[in-house]
Amino acid sequence: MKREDPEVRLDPLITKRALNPDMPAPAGMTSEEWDDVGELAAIERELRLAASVTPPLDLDPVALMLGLVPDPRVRLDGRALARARKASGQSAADLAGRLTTRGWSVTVQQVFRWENQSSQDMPPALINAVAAEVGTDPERLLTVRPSAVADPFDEAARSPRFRGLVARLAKVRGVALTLAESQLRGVAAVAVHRGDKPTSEQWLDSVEFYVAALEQRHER
Amino acid sequence: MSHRGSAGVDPPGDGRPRPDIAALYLKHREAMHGVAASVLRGPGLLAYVEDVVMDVVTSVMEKPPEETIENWEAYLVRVTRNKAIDLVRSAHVRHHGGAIPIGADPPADDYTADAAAERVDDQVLGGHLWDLMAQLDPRDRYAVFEVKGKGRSRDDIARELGVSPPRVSQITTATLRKLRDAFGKEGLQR
Repeated sequence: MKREDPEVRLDPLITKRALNPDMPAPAGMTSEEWDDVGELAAIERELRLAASVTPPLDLDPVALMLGLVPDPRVRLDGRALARARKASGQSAADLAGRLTTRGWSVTVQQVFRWENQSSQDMPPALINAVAAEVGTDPERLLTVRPSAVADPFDEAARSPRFRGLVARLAKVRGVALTLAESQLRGVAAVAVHRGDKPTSEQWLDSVEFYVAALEQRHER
Repeated sequence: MSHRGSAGVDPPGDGRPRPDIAALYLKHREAMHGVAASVLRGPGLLAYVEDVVMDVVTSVMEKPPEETIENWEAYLVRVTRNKAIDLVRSAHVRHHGGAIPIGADPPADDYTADAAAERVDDQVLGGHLWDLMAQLDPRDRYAVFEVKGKGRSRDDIARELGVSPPRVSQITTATLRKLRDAFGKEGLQR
């Protein structure tokens, strides 16, 4: 009969002890072996702590600030991208390589998919990077579709005050207006997720507070 | 409108392109939160993890490192750990006045949060795990964090990596052992 690898056998035991540090040693295990499991379990607990304090991407304020949360209203126009890429003299592989150099995990297949199929999972920051690499303004690569679901912020988003905030954010972050708007809508959505149901004015106040904080950081 | 994109990080003096801070954050945000939490947990300052991470990202955007960075994860982990330790120290100063006596034993009548705030060495150890994580093979690091950190099933990770579930167990156990041994080798037993 084939014997189970000891490392494989230890795996669930380490997790059990990570979750319950005071559990008794199972029968047949020496105190040395149990100490070994305890040390590995301590490392696992550190990893669990890290995972537990990392917010989901769409609720992460830093990710929102950096434009890492895709906006379902904003899509990359695949045909516009293909035109801009060819005009810049790059192959799809060139573009994927340049984006990889910038730190993005992008394959040639993904570039083809953006151009020919779907780009709805692209975050604004990546769209910005693509525009930079093909040498065009991000606004030229974007299409904005009205959301299929009523957006609670639409009324406030039509106000001149909101447009002003979008312009301020675009300036401080150096991004296109459409992408800045996506970012502000994401910030507002987080406020709702956290249990608030602000009025338009309250929502604009909180968005303004956010933009002002970024401006202050920028000036420091 | 600038076409530099979302990086906010200008090319360094050596002419090598710098990665976008957004892309770096997407890859390393778990390590950044992890190291901040390791340092801030003891003194009861876990609520400040997001603030520390935000501070690191904005400071790197505003003032990118002048030197060439070979391992951005290690760099971001180091900066995050230092910011978190600064926060612990300033919290201590606000409470007690004066600087933290590094390595000093906390007074017996101190309450838990401040007692922990004085054990700067321990906080460095907590953060040190993430220095070691940054040196791991990317596949091993991914497997150990997804299975052991996030609690995802080894079957899922086996499918993603194209290996058998027992092989995932071998990888994660061996990686935990590697991390534990690295602690030991550097005299950093917890």
